[in-house]
Amino acid sequence: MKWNFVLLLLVLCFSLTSALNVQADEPVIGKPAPDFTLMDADGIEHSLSAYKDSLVVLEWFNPGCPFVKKHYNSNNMQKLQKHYTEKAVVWLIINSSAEGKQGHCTPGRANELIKEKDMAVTAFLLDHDGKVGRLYGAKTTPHMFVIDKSGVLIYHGALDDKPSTKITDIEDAENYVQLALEEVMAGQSVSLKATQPYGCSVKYGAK
Amino acid sequence: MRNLGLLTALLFVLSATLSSASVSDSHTNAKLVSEVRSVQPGKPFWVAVRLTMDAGWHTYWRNPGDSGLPTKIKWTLPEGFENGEIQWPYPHKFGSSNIVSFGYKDEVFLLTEISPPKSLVPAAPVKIAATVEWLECKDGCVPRQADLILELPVKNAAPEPDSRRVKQFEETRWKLPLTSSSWQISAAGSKSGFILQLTPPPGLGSELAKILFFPEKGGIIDHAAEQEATKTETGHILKLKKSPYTPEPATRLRGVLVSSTGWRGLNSERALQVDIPVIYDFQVN
Repeated sequence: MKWNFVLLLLVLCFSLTSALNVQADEPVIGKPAPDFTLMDADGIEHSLSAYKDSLVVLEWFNPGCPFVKKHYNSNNMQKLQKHYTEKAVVWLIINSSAEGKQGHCTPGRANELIKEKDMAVTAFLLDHDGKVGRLYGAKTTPHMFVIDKSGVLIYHGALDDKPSTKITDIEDAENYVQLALEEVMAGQSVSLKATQPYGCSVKYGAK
Repeated sequence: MRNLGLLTALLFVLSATLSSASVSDSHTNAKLVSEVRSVQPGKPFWVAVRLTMDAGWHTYWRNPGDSGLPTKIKWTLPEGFENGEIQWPYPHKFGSSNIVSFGYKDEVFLLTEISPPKSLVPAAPVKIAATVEWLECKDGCVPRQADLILELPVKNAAPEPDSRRVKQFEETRWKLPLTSSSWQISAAGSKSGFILQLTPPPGLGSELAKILFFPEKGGIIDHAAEQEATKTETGHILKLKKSPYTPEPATRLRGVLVSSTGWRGLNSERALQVDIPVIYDFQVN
């Protein structure tokens, strides 16, 4: 009896430590995506929690990165944005390039880019201290996250299955974000929940 | 007047320097080189794509890590010739605490074996062509491409080594992972990652320093997580954290183990190929 109790305590300790480990870490599939608040290019604040009841896509963005250029110069990313924002999906671009680093977007530059690239996004968010990027463990541009209507993370990783900088690779690529969105909109569970993201490293500043 | 001449000369030198610098803005020089000076019918030989990178720039290994792209080579060979796969020297790990890449700086030779047909007749020189694509990165990244050509005469005699290349190829081979060793290596899987158990063959008393595992592809281990190595009574233990992008737990671990001390005693080859099953035992935490 006593031993059982000790064992139970040990098991509890173990689960507690592993739970803590996970907490200190990046977001986990099937768990609520961490909330954040960031300013957009017009100085308006956006909180993830305000978009509860909507599907949300997060796209890490650096306009100087050749992997990002591939998806914008081909119009691939804008087409996706347009298609899904028209279906009431909230699409948030996040720029975590620190000041002085590649791809840093001032509010002015962000607004120019929205026009120039004909982006169809809900908001272009500025994360210059990299807090939200680090909170999400965003590693690359583009690094994608899909969050369901209850605020749970249902996909994170690459945009598609062709890690390359070549526009010609887009046609035959399987788009993982599209796959996740289509499945969840059809009331199914997401078949591919996580993939290794590809691209340029996110240009964070010093902590 | 003399001063004016000097000034003109200076300006000329200056403009020449500037224009030569602008010929290519790539930070990596790519060249196709051969270990031998001639091709013998039916006798395989080795060539290499040599990438020489400017200070601070790097290119990538077969698994680039968290960011980047592996270098690709597309061969165009004469009829009947065949090429092997790239033999990747062990990579280096670089980057920040939360984003790491696997690759090369300064210089790397990507060796590939070329097999000419037996029916080849010594006549005109053969042309070996390679289209090389790489991503070079420093603070930012630039994709590059180069079309490289190498011409070699065909001779019935055994090929003579190219004295300029012998040492370079030898040093590169030393950096290729050993494909077998007398080490016993096993992997146990847990919810959070993998525990590698490395047991040296009897008699090999060397202690391994700075052990690192490089997975062959992404989505297996957390590339940026610290790999904790511990000395045990019988060998070493290396703890690897699971990738956050693993949809299913890995059933095999494939990759390269690197140790600065070497796998066959002090100062021997530093890299060892690993391809082992992962054993899941739910007692292991």
